[in-house]
Parts: sequence; C-alpha cells; structure tokens
Amino acid sequence: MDPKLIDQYGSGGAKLLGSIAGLSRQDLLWVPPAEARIGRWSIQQIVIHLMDSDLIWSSRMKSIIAEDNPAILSFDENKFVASLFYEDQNAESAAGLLDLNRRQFAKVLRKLPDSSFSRTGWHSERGTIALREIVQLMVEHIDHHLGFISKKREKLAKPLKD
Amino acid sequence: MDRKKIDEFEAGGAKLGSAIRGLEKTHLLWVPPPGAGIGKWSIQQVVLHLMDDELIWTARMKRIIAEDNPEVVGFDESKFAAKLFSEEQDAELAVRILDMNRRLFSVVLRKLPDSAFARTARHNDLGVITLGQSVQWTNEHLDHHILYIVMKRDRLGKPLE
Repeated sequence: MDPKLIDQYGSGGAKLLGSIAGLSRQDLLWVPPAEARIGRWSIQQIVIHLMDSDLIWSSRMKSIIAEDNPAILSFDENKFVASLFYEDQNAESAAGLLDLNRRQFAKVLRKLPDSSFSRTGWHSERGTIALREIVQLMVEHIDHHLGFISKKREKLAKPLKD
Repeated sequence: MDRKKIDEFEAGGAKLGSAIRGLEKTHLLWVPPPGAGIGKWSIQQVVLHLMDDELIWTARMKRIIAEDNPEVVGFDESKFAAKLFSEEQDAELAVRILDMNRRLFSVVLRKLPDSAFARTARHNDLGVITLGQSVQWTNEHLDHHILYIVMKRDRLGKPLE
C-alpha cells in the first residue's frame, strides 16, 4: 500500500474545510439551475453527503480489518439527501467531523501490514471489495465532489483561492 | 418519543469527555486484572469502542429515517477492540468525534415528527428495532460504559470529582 495514499486520505478533511471557507449560509444553500451543468446539489448538500458517506465507509473499513469478509449493505444517498434535513445541519461542523474521523482512522491504516489492504468485504451492490480499493475510492470521492464545489463557487463569484 | 432523550443523546459526548478528564496515557491504557469485576477493557478501549459503536448506530438510524425498514447487520465489538489498534488512537479525539457526531445528528432527530421514532429496521441479531429504541439504547450504552470508567478510575486512585 502506498503510504502517500493514506496521507491523502488523512488530509481529505482539511481540503474539504478549505473548499468551503469564506462561504455564507446563502452560498452554501444555493441550488444550481439544471442548465448550469455543475451538479444538482447545493454545496451544503455535498458536504453533508460527504460526511455521511465517509463515516459509513470508515465503519465498513473497520469491519473489513477486524472481521472476515463481512457483509456491507449499501445505503441510498438520494434518500439521505431528501430525508435527513441536510439544509438544517451545520456544514462546517460536518466537514470538521469528517476531518477528525479521517485523522483518527488514518492512524489505524498506518499501523496495518501491507497484506491487510487485500482484505475484503462483500458489498451488496459492488460485490467483493478490498480495503485498498476503498481507501482509493474515499480519496477520489472527495476530489470528485471538490471539483463540483469549485465550479459552484465560480458561479457564485466566490472562486477558491490558491 | 420523549424529546428529553434527544437532549440526553446530544449531551452524551460532553459526559464522556468529563469521564476521562485528567487521565494520563498510562491510566487510559491500564488493563484491569481479571476478577476485579470492573470490566476487562482499558478506559482507552472503552472510549474507542464507544466511538466506533456510535458511528455505526448513527448510520443505522439515518437509514431507518431515510429508507423503508432497511436491513442492518451487527458487528463484532470484541474483534474491533482487538484489531483496530485502539492503543495507538487518540482517546480525546475519539470523544470529540463522538461529541460532534451526536451534536450534528441531534439536529436531525429534533426535526422529526413523533411518528418517525416508530420507523423500523431489521437487525440480523436483534430482530425488528425502532428509531426510538436506537436513541434509547445509545444513551444507555454510553451510561453503562461510563459507570465502568468510574470504577476503573477509583481503582487507579483517580476518582471522578
């Protein structure tokens, strides 16, 4: 396992916090028009989605490390967005929680021998999935959504500063 | 659903924070001798167990709210305690994670109508569980473990003030 990937995983929360810095509540809740083609979720929805998803995936990774090929049940991200009052939660706290959870879990990942990253779970939609793939997926998942946050910020005339 | 249970849920992180205040790493990592009747885990293992368990239960509660009678699966807490390097993790960070998670999720719980607390999931070990029971259990679970932390602190000569 490339230790740089674990570092990237561990620093994903700081990246997310940086990506929403300086945004007002109004900016966070702005829903892009469909024709803008910059995603249909508000930045707020993206951040809470990332928190929900990240917490669930870290629990799944724990099961894969501790148990033998555990069953991993999928969740419906669209129903989460629609039913869990995403607009009433606090985006900065959510990004902060994701950050702390990644920092904590990165400590576990760093202690594992290389062989552990081949350990697997059985995902109800994806089938067999290895720990190594999940760490990679988590890094890509944040980056994917950060790309959309960046586009939304440009449209809001609040571009990300380097 | 008694809404005070949500207040209790929200305040749980602060309670756990107080329960480990003033302890050094050696206290946190002290494993009670067998037969002491104060549990077999170190305080550090208890705290990390609580963090892991909370994150899993919150995810289940989110699924109960958003999905229709979802299937949820148990996890092996003994294997988690044995294999997730709890001694290398940071107990204070674990408390902050649990605390932030409870505060954020309390916002969701407070927005729900009373009827939502009767929503259910199918648990592979526990059978049918409701959202209301899940809130109650997570409260009781924390109190149960805090009691053992208090007993361990007494034994360490660091009683809770």
